[in-house]
Amino acid sequence: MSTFKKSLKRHVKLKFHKPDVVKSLALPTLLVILVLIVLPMLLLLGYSFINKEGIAFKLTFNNYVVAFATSYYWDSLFVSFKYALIATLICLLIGYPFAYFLSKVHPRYQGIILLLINAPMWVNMTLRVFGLKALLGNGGIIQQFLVENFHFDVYNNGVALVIGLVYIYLPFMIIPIYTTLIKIDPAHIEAGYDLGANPFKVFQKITFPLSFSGVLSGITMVFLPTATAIVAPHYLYNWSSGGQFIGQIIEAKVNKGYYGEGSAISIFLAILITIMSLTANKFDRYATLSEGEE
Amino acid sequence: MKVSKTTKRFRIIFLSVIILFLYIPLFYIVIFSFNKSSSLLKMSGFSFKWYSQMFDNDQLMDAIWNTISCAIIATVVSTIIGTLGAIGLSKYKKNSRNILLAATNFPVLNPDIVTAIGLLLVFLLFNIKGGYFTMILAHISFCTPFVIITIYPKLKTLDSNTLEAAMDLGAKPLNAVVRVLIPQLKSAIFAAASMAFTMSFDDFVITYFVTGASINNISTYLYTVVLRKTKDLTVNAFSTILIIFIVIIVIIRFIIDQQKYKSKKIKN
Repeated sequence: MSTFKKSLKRHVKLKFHKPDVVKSLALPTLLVILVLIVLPMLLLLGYSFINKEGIAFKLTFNNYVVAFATSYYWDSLFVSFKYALIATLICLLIGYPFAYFLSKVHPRYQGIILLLINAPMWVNMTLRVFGLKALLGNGGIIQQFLVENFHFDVYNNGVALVIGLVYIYLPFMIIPIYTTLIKIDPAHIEAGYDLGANPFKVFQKITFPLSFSGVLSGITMVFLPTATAIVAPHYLYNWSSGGQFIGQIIEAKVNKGYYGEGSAISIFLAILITIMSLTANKFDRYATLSEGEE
Repeated sequence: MKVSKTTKRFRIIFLSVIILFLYIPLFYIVIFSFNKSSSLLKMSGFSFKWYSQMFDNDQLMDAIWNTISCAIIATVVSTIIGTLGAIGLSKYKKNSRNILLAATNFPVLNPDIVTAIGLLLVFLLFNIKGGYFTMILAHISFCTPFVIITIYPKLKTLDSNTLEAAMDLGAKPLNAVVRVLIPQLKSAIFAAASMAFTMSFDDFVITYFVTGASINNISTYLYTVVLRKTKDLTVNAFSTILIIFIVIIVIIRFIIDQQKYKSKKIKN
């Protein structure tokens, strides 16, 4: 036994350098992670505490104070989160039934419908907003028609923006939900019916809980980018009267060279979003847990 | 559980309406790309003039070239780095690996604007002037994490002993990786590459911040030039070409799908 152990040890020692070579394959990735992912975050954090006066740098909390003592930022956060929340809810209300019905379509056609949902995403997002602007933006063909005939101004009341956000991000809601729905074992559903549940009960007790992780990742994938959008609010919504999106404010600050304030808001956003996705993950863990138990 | 015909019909109508909703702005772009005048409100006649003007629009042509070349370079580089990175990381100790994987998740979770400003600060620190080079570096930095998170889970499902076996049989480590691991990862690598390409092709926010006003890709060109003057429909002509290209891909895929389905049915 001991000789076996010894030979095994020698074998391991001999082989030791080989996995090291494989490990070293990650070096370029480490470089990318260090210089282009970790360093930017550190710099953001650093800049957010620095006040630049001429060439002298001064340590300060002023950027955070300026950013959050004024109602300006809170208002803009409120506006961004309000629209993001509405858009996410509508995406969910349309996206869930869509994914559900899609999973019931003949398998022969599911692939192509999924492709039809994906395909518009390959047309540049800015190009699509450009198309929408001509329809719903200020002076757009539908917007003018509605103003003239119904005194309903989609550009000024924010409806155009909500439609635009839903239009752009709906696929991000549909796809994760659909992926979890088709993974559900039909036996679970049949078992529900055999035990006497009606279709509503089956959906409530079996289908929906099993697709919940898809719903959560859909919500994160829609909410985060909509809350920080720049292009859609710029063209589909009267932000000069309705309040700017947080992304637009960061854009304006950075373009004027106020890196400190821009960094402070960015850090705040990053922390907020980390908390949100951690919370989502927690729920998600319960979802996978219940899946595992069945 | 049988569903009634009315339910079925309702489902199909619902699916069609939503798909139509996703395509209306695209139809609109296509139709007005053939407009004689530069109006987006009224068709005043049919013409190809925006198509011929498109090739004379140097700014647009530059933007298209920048977008495509940058997407190709960023895709190739980030796919190679990311694939090797995923393979290398899988051999790391659990703790350091988890920390590194969490770090790669930053750009995936963070809003683009946060990533963009972080990168801008890095380029300022090293005194690299915004331009094509910073655009490519930035695209590599946000594509690589997506490649890693696509390939790493697939890598974990593979039997790690195959690599050891190849090395025990005398293959050099690099040779073993290329001959044993890469072929098994082919479909994941392809998925990662197409995702990287789409993300780079579609990017606005990050390119906008890291290039300054020095060069444009299609998105920033639209944002900074076209949407301000709007009397220029050459962009619609370009979008139409892009849309036609995508429609062709969709049709080909549909035919392949149907054929596959038929042959499967015969087999069964």
